Amino acid sequence: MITLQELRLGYGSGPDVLVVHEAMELPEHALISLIGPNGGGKTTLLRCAAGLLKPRGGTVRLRGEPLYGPGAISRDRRARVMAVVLTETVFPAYLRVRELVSLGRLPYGGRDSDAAIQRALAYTESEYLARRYVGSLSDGERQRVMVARALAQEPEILLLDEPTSHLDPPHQTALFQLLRCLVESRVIETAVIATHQLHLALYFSDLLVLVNRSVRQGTTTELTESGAVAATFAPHTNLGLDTHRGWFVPEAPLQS
Amino acid sequence: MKTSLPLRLIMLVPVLAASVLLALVLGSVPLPPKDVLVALFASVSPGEEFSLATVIVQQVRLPRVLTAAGAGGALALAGLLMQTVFRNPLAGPGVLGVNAGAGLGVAFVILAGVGAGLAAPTVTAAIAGAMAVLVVVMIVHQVVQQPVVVLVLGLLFGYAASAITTILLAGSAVDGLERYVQWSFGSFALAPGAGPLTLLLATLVITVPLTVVAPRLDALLLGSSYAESLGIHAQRLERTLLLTAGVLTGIVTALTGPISFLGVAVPHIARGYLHTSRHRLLVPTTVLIGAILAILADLLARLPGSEATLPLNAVLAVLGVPVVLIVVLRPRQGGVQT
Repeated sequence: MITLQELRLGYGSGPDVLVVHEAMELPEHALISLIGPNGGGKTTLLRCAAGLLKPRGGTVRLRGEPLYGPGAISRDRRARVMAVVLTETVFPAYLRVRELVSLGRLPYGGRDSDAAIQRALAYTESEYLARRYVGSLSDGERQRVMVARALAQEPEILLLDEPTSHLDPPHQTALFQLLRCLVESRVIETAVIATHQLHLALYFSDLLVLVNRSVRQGTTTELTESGAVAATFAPHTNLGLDTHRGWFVPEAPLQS
Repeated sequence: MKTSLPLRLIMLVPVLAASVLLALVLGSVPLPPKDVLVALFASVSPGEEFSLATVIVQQVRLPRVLTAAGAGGALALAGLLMQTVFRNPLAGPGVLGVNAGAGLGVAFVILAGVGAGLAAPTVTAAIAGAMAVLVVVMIVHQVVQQPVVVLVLGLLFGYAASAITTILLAGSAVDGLERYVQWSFGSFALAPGAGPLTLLLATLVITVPLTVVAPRLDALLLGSSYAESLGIHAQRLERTLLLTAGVLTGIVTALTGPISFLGVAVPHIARGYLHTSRHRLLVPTTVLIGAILAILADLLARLPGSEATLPLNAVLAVLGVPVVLIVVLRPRQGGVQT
């Protein structure tokens, strides 16, 4: 469980990207989707929760222990509890998929590697890629392999930033299904996923966090029925959210 | 042919030994291999008679070969570290501006008219200049924390140091200018006293811990955020690697003058040879290939059998460019990457 309090987030000397006045909680046994418009702060919030971006103000705690500042949890322990899938795309040419996935075992000093790596590859259906060079993969294959790398870390909390962006539609659904399944079978405790796949987020998530400069949290039903989801994205347009299909449609019929 | 990667690394050791032997045998005075071996292990005590072969091997060729091996290994290693830290295949030991700093130090010494040739004052000044630039770059890295900014600032400091060097030299006498140009050609023949052995030992000593932390360097290839998420103090690791590369480059440049090409090219040759980006094997392989190439390039530059010599940097480029082209342009996937 991650608790975030009175957060103020930003980069360098730039303006605040995200300000959260209340306390937030990313609880256990839940698939949580961060949704919101471009530039709203999803990635920023995710990186902060992952221990990769020190907040300008406020506190972040992992099961009660601070992630930043004095008395913070050690890097090694944090790496054994949390794993990330980011949008970065710098990839070494001459690293094989299995070697890349095995980097997930670094926090354990390489212990129990083979079984964990094998499981991670199996979850993401990428065993057949194991001997390929990372540089030769397609974007989508690489994205699945990066999920496998995170799973090889055997985290309790998995944080993913737009992990479906390069995947074909069946693989997008399969990834959400995998996360759902991992959470339900208690392989991981919490999955936090920043995504624009509204239909998948609405279908698979337990909780939604609407992120647009500020944050609003609730169950999927709660937030769709109150109109909060639609309002986060398109407060001033004439588009309406079809909450069953998870897409935006013009409220007035199209003029011909 | 499929050879296991550790075997490919081990196969380089006899190649290195052969290169060393070749460099000791060939020269303006060719010596038979048997005489070379005898001369290598002959003890030279003062007041005793010893053969010409012993003098040539122990006092001329061996220091030169040791310098070449140490410098080649160190520069190649520095280049690999820079490419890993910056995740940029074009990075090399020169991008921190350390070379230019060393050049500035040498120009100062020449202008002050201290010492002659490439003696101790020049080496001291070159190290001082190199370290001054390195310290500035490291402070900047501490403040801005972004590797790319350091890359740009390293280049800028390099240009600034070169500019000041040019101004200093413009005001110096012709013989000073000649000394500087001589230094800037690069040579493995000029390292004084204990320099060659120190350089070689320093390179070997640094290689060992780097091989131990190799998986962390692999993680750094994914970017500093992923490295952090794996529990690595990415910024501290990057700083240590930059410092290591800078110190290696500074020492080499001080002892041999600016040596171009090896630092950028050898890591690519090593990756192409091993087909891996994993540092555990890549680090020692890069050092070995760097040493081998430096020894062979120096041997060619000496034009065995003749009295003339070629500028080392020219030979390195002529020898190295085709090799790198072959490695990089092979129709496999990959190409120029870290």
